[in-house]
Amino acid sequence: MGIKRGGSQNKLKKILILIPVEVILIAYAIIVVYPMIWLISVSLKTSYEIFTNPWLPTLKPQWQNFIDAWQRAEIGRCFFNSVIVTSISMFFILLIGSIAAYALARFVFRGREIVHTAFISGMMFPVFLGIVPLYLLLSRLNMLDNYFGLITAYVAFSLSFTIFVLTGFFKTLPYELAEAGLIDGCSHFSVFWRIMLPLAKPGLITAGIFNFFGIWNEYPLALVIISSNELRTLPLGIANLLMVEHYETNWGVLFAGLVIVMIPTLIVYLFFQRQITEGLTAGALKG
Amino acid sequence: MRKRDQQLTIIAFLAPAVILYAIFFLFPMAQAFYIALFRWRGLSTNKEFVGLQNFRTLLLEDPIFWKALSHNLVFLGISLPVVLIVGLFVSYALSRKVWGASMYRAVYLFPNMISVVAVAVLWSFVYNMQFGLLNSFLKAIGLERYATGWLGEPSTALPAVVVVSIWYSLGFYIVLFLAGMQSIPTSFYEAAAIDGATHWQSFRHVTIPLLWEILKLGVIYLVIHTLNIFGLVYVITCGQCGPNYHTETMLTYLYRLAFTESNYGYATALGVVAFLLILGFALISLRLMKREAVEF
Repeated sequence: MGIKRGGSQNKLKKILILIPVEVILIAYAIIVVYPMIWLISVSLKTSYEIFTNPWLPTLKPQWQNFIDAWQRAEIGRCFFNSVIVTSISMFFILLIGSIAAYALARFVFRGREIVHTAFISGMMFPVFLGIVPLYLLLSRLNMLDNYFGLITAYVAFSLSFTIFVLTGFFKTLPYELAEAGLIDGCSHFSVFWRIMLPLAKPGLITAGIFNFFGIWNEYPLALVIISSNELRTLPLGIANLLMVEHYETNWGVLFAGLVIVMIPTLIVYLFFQRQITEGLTAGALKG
Repeated sequence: MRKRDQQLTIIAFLAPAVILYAIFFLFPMAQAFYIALFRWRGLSTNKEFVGLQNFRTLLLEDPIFWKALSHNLVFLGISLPVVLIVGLFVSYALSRKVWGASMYRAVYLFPNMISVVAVAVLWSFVYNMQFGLLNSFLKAIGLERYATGWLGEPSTALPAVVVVSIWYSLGFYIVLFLAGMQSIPTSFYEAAAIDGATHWQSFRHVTIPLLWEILKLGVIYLVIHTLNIFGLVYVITCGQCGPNYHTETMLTYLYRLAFTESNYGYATALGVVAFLLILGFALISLRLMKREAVEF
């Protein structure tokens, strides 16, 4: 009897604790989500309506804001630049990174530890330590203010992390398969390409997702390397729009531009949410 | 024959990565320590070896540097308690299977996935004097007298940016702590419950000690993040870093020195100092949090 009563009391106590906790969690969720909902609602208003009705959703959505942002404010061009730079960079990072990681994980050779350590220790260096020397180097090689320079920098700066992730993955794969392939007369490269790379798909996805977010959102390197309007990536375009629109006060267009920037991020996030949370913590927990 | 074949393979596989990485990453990083020893203005050969003079000027005669560094420390000083208290509270709640835990986690992490620039632009409008979310909220609840131009006021500009930085990054720490907590066996909590432990007691005596390694990591990340802050401050204050350098941080100062004043040697010296400070702070926090790891 006594035990049973204690049980229901505990249950009541549990609920009494849970309610304020849920309230706090919901309040925090609102703080996170509300600015973004507000952003969408404002992106459909005229500048006049933003001043007179900043809170409530509009009754006359201005889809024109999105068209203006895409065309007149050149967010469309920035979007195109970001797609080009991100996709080419990711292709080379994953290709170059995965063959290097495979060699480091699979073969025993002199100097392996040195090369491996050199790659991994790169994660310690902040971008800004080398930013001036990199700028001077790119300028001497005529690689400033073009896709080629920016992509090269992105690939070089992403290799540390990518090789770190992929070496870990390749180490877990069974190499008997590779041996069998070699005995059947495959070259090392076709063993890698046809047998090992498909097996390493989860690792490639993890590295790919994090490189996507890193490069799609990247700002400091793009700011330093790109200077002409035509080559701006999305973060540069949006930052520039903020500074220009401060004078032109066409807020709705700027907000529409921001929504356009976030859409691909949101889509990738929704698709890969599980891999992202796992990837964020996997390294930390194993280390 | 087979052996040579293998050697060629290794070289071919490693060469592209090693060459790109050495030229465009390692070389600039290493060169920074060398360029910092020169007075170097502009792209011309106007370059003079001055030894440690840049460091001396920076540390002894440059009030802006100290101001910027103090702002980075304000960032760290506000973010650290908030991330530890709020982050641990939320992640503990999520780990004890509250309703909707995985949905909350997904929502909280999302800001961390957006471009820092987009976050900065969005928040510069939350803080906007005329139609910003914050001022209209204050108006709506009758606190209009507190409405102000948050980013224009010297006293509020820096805290306002710190709030954005926390809004942006807190979800990452929650996911990190949560993953650590989920790897703690539930039997530990059951044992504590049988012994009559309250939530606070099981948090204090089970979660914290078993989470210590993750907490250390979180603190290191936070140190690195707050000393490296750039895009958020630069965009949110339109590159001017507010009235009279009120939001200047080490890296916004470095950027201005290098790319608007073309003061390359001096800017690089600042880069080296910032790097050494990050290393130093990381080592100090590791030292302070040193404790026997609890195995389970």
